[in-house]
Amino acid sequence: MRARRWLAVAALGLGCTQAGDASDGGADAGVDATSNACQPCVIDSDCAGGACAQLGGDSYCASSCATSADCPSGEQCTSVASVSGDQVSVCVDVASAQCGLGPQEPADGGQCPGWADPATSASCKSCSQGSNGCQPNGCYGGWWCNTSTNKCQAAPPQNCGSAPSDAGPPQVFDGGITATIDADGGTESHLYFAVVGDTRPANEDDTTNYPTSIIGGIFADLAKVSPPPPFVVSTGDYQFSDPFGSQAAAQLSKYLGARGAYGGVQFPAMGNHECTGATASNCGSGNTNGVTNNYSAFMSQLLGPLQKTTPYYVIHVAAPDASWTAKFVFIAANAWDATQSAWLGTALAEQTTYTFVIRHEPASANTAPGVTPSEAIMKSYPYTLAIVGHSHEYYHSSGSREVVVGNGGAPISTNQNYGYALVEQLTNGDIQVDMYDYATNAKDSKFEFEVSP
Amino acid sequence: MIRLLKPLIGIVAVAAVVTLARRRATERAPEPSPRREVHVPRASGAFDLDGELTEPAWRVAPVAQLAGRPYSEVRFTWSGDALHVGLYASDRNIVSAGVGGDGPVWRGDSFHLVFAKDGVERSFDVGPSAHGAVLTDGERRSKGAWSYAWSSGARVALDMDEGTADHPEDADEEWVVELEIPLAALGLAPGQRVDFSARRCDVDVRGGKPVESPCPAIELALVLDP
Repeated sequence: MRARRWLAVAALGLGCTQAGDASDGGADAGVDATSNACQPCVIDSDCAGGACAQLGGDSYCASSCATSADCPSGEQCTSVASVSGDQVSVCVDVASAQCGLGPQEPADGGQCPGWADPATSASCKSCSQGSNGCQPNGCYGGWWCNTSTNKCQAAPPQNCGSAPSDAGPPQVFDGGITATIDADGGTESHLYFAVVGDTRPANEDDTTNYPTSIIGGIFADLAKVSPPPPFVVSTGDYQFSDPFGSQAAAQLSKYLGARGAYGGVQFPAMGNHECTGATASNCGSGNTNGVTNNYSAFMSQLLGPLQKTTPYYVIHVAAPDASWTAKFVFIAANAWDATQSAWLGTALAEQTTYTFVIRHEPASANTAPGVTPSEAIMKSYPYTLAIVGHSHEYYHSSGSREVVVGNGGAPISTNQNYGYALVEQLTNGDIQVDMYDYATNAKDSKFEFEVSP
Repeated sequence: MIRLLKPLIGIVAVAAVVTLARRRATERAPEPSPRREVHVPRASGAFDLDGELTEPAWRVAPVAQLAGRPYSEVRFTWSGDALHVGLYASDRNIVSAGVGGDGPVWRGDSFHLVFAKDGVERSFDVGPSAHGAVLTDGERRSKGAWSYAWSSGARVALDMDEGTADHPEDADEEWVVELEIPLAALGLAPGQRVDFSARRCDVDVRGGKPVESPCPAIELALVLDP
């Protein structure tokens, strides 16, 4: 019904009169409100006396008014929401598709003329096709594309389908899996595991606001994936604690509690927040920052149950018939010393079908003491995939053998969502990596990639 | 006959447009929802205005997550004659507005805070720069035009954890702002209530549209516990 009204208005041909290309018009632009009507804005101050109003699925300047007599011909004084959420009365060309009252809406559900859902190819330009997280419609993060304006909008228009719902954890493959995994690895009928990463709170010693619910949600999902991954590797930063304060143990206790829903084995990598918090910090006996409380808590609470005595270690996983073998090499770039350097060379020299290197910092975070030296050693040996975190996002560049999985509960730094990665061996021997949203359990189809052993 | 009816058809059509537009506007206007009330505790002890929320008072300060992405939050406490506001912004690429105080801070990564009491709104736009926090404060009365000649006397500090403003080639983590606003500038006294809204706009390029546009806002009612 509302669509019919909209079409009736549009049929009168009252188009929006676009002002000039003054998209940079801010408070200092010195133009009156009428002259920058229909200009994109962020804040009221962009509109020089007018209001920055939510129009046409985006935000545009509009002139304030008391009645329609205050408005130019063809415009109506209309109550709309400002970007601040206030109700404001502004002059609106109700027929404008660009900055009118809103998008054209369908009379019934199922179709959504003028809009492209995230999976539909469209011409929005919020991101570049092929870039991380960029949907076929040219938007990020589940947003819809208004094809008349080529702008992205967070929520789909009314009656245009609903937001993705939680379909439950995914069924990754049929037939189940047979696995025996302990603190040193074990056997799997099929190489298959999960990756989670970066779970610290936003502020130091903020144990009260530890992201327990997100971490718990992720591990609860992993317990329900079909089949559940027999083990999980994690990319570090389980805490944000004063290195000589009292909160490290408390935060790691919260982590272990949140992990409780998952029955498999977790193999953790050490992050910079398990040292002092600085990326450049270097912990461990004899190193610059020594043995901090954060380091001690990590060693005792997360690695103690695995009986690891150093923050760097290797585990082995193989097929029961040894038709393939894999090693997982955990590097501690914030506890780097000559001993670890020598160990890494030896560990990587071992011949296996697959080699996974797990380290907190990506290669680009080269202020961490062990990043550049370990990268140099890694160059001497073939490896399947380097699994890292540090950045609170997930990311993989085509052709790269490094994947960032840092969206485990630490404050997300992009417009992605929290979640978990599943890594699976394909029948041709390649390795496939997928990312799942912890709230919807939806797979990010744009992220999926494969690497050869 | 048709010639006589034409003006009438036009009048009816315009009237229909106006009626439908008004009805549609009415349908779109959301009912005002009651603001969530947040009690702001009185803090004891000194604050070191350094952009790091490490004082014990911040540990017990109420926290509100802002809507949208990237992750942002705001927390409050008060002491003496000032309201302390802590702002956290997770950010992979910190972009400054390239302006000084009282400039259009919103052309870069920024928070936009508005306090409203007794028909007067006071805004605080704060963002990062390579040289520290940049603050633009303004005031408007009865929904009139904003005046940026108004000065709140607020003090502000910034900490960029593993971050560098305006260097897209490196990976940033977050920026944190500590804002100290004189209660008098807000017309606020202990025990009183003030309406508050906040939104954080994250941009990838200076002057560009925010990653989420319009930047989603949260609305709260702050009550200063005596």
